[in-house]
Amino acid sequence: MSAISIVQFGLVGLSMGAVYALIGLGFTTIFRASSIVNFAQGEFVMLGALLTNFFMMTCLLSYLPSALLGTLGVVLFGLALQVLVIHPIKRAGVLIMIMGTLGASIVIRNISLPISLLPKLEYLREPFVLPQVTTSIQAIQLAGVRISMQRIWVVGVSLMLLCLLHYFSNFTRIGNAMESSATDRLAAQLVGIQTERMVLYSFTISAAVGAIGGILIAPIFSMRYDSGAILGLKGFVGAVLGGWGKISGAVLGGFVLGVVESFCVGLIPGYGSRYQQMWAFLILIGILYIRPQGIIGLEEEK
Amino acid sequence: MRRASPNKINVLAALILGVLPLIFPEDFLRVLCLGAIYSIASLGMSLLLGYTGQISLGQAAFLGIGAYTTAILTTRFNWPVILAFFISFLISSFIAFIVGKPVLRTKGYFLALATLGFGEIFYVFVCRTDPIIGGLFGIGGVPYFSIAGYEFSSYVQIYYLDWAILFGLLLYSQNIVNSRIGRAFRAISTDEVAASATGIDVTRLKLKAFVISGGYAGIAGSLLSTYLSTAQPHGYQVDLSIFIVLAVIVGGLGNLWGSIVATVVLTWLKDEQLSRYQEYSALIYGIIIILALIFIPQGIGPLKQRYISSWKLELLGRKFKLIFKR
Repeated sequence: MSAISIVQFGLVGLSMGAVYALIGLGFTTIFRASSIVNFAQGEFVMLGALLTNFFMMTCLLSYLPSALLGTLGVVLFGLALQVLVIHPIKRAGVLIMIMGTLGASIVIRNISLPISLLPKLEYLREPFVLPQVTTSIQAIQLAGVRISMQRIWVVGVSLMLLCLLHYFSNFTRIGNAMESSATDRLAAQLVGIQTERMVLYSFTISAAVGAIGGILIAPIFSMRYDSGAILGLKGFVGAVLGGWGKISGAVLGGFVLGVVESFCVGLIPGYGSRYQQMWAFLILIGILYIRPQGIIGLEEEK
Repeated sequence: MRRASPNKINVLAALILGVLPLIFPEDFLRVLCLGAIYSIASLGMSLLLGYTGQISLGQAAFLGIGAYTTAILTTRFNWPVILAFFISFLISSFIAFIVGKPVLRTKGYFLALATLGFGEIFYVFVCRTDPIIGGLFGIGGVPYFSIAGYEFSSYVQIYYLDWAILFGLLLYSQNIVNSRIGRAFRAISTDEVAASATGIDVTRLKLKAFVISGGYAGIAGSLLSTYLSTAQPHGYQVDLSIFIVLAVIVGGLGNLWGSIVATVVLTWLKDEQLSRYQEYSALIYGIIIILALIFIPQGIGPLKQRYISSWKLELLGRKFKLIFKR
């Protein structure tokens, strides 16, 4: 295996990892605010791409407004999820929460099917690809390594979002309030932070982040109404891999997962790409066996 | 006194179930056959989730392992079905043992994720492996269940076979539940630390419950492949795992008969009623899941007590009192 192809697979993995990092970030944000794991997180990713596609195809808007409206739409879905599903079952325990968010993910996944029965909307059930962010340059070539422009956009936008979120949670009033309610809910309530509202903010952020991830990745892979679940699970795997409950863990784990998965696919001859969707979960079971607290997790938990 | 009541229910249920094929048309028996097969899986799940308090969202994979083992042994190696049936049980139990060891170190959300991941590994593996397993198309031509030349091919025959197996496993499960192990299971589900403080080997018993549930699912899968006469990957996806867990929740945690009733009702709802609405079916199914969890998170058990025993029985009692007063 030549050095060039290793670098090539590494770069591909980084761009995939950026998306996993965004999804894992969504999981972690909600978990920190409300100690809930939202199994419908992957559907935000799918829905972001699907809504953007809808605004472009049916409303005939251009790329940027469609993407913005798509993200906004997903945020509304996220808030509806919190208000209609998660809030009513909050007191019933972990098991009910797992099933409730899985049920919500079934609903969100299949919501476009009845709509696709309407005339001129049949495309909603077909696989689709979104246009790239920049169409003028397709790819750049550097010392024999070819990397497509869209992958650079994926990594760039993700890193920018991560910085933005870092700034938000450390240097703004709301961000600080969210951080403190994540650290100690009761203490936060005692100093007058409305923790319920913080949960709503966390759903807003994670829905938006997930949707942007979907919009960025949809030009590289074709998306369909049912392709969100697997992306969501992989984002969760990334967050567990890095160290559960930490923003830095989710980001690091996402990137590591993307790169390792890419190497598995590219460098295991014959079987790598055939069992492409399997590696992330084998890595998960491995990490749970060897180091359940994740790469940067502390010793005590779980 | 308390020991007698499940027996009464068992005998009554056995009588009713034995008579049903004489009354109902074959069409209705079809649902009851499928319901019995899925009930076997949810019975195992009830032991794992309802009694031991550990979730598994990978049951579909164990059903799949059972189905594929039976299909491979009967079609590729021409083994008799009954032998393949027992081997399916053994192999799915064994794989549950191997998977359970690392996976059961986690709890709650992470156990759910890990078992979901196992289900996904199984699904990708069978979809993408063409030799022997048959890839996306799976394995066709699985023979009907037969014992020493007697073939179970009509719905009535399959009905009696499946319910007999289910009934045997139910009696076995009731024995487990009422034994020392069952009490240990319940102790683990209430408080693991307290359970281990009283000398219960928590890790071993959790694994035991996991292996039992995997083995039951393997039995169900084996019966399913002989019933459908195929083993195809799309039948063993996450949806089936969710379905089984849902059935156990709706049936009430720690309620074996409840999970059977819930499985049959949900099978009827999903396979008979919802499938008519095609594009809408999955959406309605998801909405039903959410509504069920919001309104009856405790399952149908307490409902029975709340509405039937307290309200109707009280009415009946008053009537009797009135009669006797006269």
